[in-house]
Amino acid sequence: MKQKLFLILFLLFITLNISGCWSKKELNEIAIILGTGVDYTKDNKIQLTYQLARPAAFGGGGMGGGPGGGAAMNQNITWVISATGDTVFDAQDKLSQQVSRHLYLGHNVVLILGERLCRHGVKDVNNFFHRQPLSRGTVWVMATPQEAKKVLESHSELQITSAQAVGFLARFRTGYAVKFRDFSQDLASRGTDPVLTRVELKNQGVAQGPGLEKVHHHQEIVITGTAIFKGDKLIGWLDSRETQGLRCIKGEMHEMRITVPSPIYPDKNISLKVIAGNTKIEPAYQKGEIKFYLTVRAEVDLIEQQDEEDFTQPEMIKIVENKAAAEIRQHIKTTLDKVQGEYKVDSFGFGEAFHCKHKREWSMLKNRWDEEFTNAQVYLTVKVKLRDTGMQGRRASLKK
Amino acid sequence: MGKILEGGKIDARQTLYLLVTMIYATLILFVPQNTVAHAQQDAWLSFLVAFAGGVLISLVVINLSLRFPGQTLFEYLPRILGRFPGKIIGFFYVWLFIHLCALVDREYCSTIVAAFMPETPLVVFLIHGTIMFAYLAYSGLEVLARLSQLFLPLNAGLLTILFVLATPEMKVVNILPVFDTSLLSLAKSTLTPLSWFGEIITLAVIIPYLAEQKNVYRLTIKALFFVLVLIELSTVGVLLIFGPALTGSYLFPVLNGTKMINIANFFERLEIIPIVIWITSGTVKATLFFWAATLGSAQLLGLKDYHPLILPLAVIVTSLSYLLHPNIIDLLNFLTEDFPFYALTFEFLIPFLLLIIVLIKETGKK
Amino acid sequence: MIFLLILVFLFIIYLQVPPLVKNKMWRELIAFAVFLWLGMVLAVPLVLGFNLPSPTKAIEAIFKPLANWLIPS
Repeated sequence: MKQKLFLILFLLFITLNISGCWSKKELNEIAIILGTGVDYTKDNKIQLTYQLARPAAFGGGGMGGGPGGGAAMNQNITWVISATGDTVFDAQDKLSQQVSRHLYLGHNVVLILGERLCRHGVKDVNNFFHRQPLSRGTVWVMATPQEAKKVLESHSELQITSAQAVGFLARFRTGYAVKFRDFSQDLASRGTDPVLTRVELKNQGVAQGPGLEKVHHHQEIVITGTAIFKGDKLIGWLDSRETQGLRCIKGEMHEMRITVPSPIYPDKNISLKVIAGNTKIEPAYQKGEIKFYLTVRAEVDLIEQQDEEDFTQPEMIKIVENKAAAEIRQHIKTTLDKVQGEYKVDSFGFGEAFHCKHKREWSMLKNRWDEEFTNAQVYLTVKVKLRDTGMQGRRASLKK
Repeated sequence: MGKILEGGKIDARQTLYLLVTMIYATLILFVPQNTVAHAQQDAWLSFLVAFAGGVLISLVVINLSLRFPGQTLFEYLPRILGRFPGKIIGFFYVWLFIHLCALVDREYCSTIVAAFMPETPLVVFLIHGTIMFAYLAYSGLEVLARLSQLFLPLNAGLLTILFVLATPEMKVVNILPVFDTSLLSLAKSTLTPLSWFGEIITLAVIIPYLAEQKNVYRLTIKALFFVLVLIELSTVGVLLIFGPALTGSYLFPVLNGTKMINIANFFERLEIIPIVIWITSGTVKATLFFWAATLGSAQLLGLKDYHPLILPLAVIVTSLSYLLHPNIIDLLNFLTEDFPFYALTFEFLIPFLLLIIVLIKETGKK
Repeated sequence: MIFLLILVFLFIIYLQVPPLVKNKMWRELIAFAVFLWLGMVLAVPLVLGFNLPSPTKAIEAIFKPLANWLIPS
């Protein structure tokens, strides 16, 4: 009898508790945030922008295809809302009064920071994204010379939302992509100044369809370079070309394209793609002078040639390899000149490398590392290996 | 007498698993953060030092226990110190085990509240935890040992898989340069893990229930070594992912490390795995301390059965774990600043003094 | 809340006391009563919302000087 009573009570207890629905948030009670933008307004407040997904609209697109599948086209797929406040959370609090669901940060893809905020300093806002249990270190962080709000108020032609589209751009390494974790690490490190991907909303292509008689110019978020920070403040930008140099120094050359002039035919070019590459930084410290020996190794594939260089000959391969090495060296030089010479910061992690090798000297230099780095000499060695030549060996001769 | 109170017998393998679970459970939860905060990228070094200290403590404890075969700490304390002082020290140990149990309970529940269910009151999780380990303690040591036998391989495997999956996020430069920490910081960072390794003192209560007592030394050192492997895996793992600065700032670095896992934009959001590891191992750990406390108080009071004490003690533990710390920061501060000295007094100093007394008075078996 | 707590205590007593009385385990019964009373002393004020001093403070008072002496911060 007693056991039965105990069992019944126990079962009751289990049923009440095992469902664990105290903090439950059902899917139809949350608003999924896909993109976050933070701006610094003219009256010194934080402006927070969320790009929210409208899951109801997601179902219509997808597999439909054809003219009939355009149900999603006519619906708004995302909802971009923004509010200002003294802190990020203050702004979010105002937003949550406007949104009928719980704002859910767990699926956030990008965090876009406006230029005014970056110049003011990102220290004021990034802590929110550390303390939030739902926020992740894998979020792509980007800076934009425009207003982050404007950038998020866009949509993508191929992906469901523009936030996801720009996330894919970052994932495919079209520029130098930075995760929130990397950004925070660089912010905390004395030996590296942070960099961010630079994005812009640009006129991009023309959207076409049976319903669209007029020419419809489409705006899409695109990656246009890199933002250079000193401490937590933005001090300048690199364009796409200079970003390639940054990627070479950081050793993230995968999928990078190089175009070199033809060794034989004037005004003709050869295009190569980097398949694999790495960079080694060797610091040296002699009599108060800091030197860095940078060794870049890259494996490239031949993608395109404009004239008839014969790539079945080993000498030709050697020549093109040297040309590519010179090109990479040029990229690096340009970027170094700009970052080390003009911006006077160490965005590359030279300081970290120096720290690893010279622990004692580092403790003296770390507080004025940026100045020390400005005077440091960087010696370059670039080694390129041509691996494949695509589907052709020698080009089919044009008739003579 | 102990055999009448607790009828269970555990074999060598179960003991090994039980000891490993007892130590690593909360070690991988809280300690990487605090150790890294002091020792930076050399945290793995302080665990090595702590391991050496743990071996020393276990040698003292085992040596002491083997001199009184078939008796637990609570039974031989009065024999060494005399009836009255022995019982008083014994009750201090009961308090230590209750306190440890309350702390473990609190650590786990605070983690769930902080990281997953901020809206749910803490006490809800505390009550669930208490019911679970009260029931487990009711079932006895043997069941507990079997439970750890079930969970530990699973947990160790899951932990390894987690860090294998996180390798794309790891950078070797994050743990370089080695030996960059001052000796003082290293000593500071060693204290907390050392006090965790010192929880091996529970062995003084378990030893009488081992089926064979020949290989206790080897077994214990093996257990400590296995703990070392697990903690080094998780500490070096999170250091490789985050570097010292970020690791030192996160409350639960292993959880944050798991969040970084993203294989092909498809295999991600594995936070449930560390929670599974923490909850299963934490239950075993809390129960072991709880069981030691109930058994200890029953033996000190000369009772024939320890089961009637389980529910009252469960109420005490629940209230205590709620009462001990106002928030998780206070808990962490306590664990890193004062707890090592408090715990090591019981874990090392008292057993060491006892051993000296035993050697001088030549009580007990050679 | 307080009624729930009293209910819990009554349930614990209902589970444990009859077998103890039946088997004439008076010593166990006294130990049980003392521990349960201790539990009540801790739990009831918590439920009623009084602020009990945390035992942590006592431990800190004892070991803080030791910690500060051994490890200058």
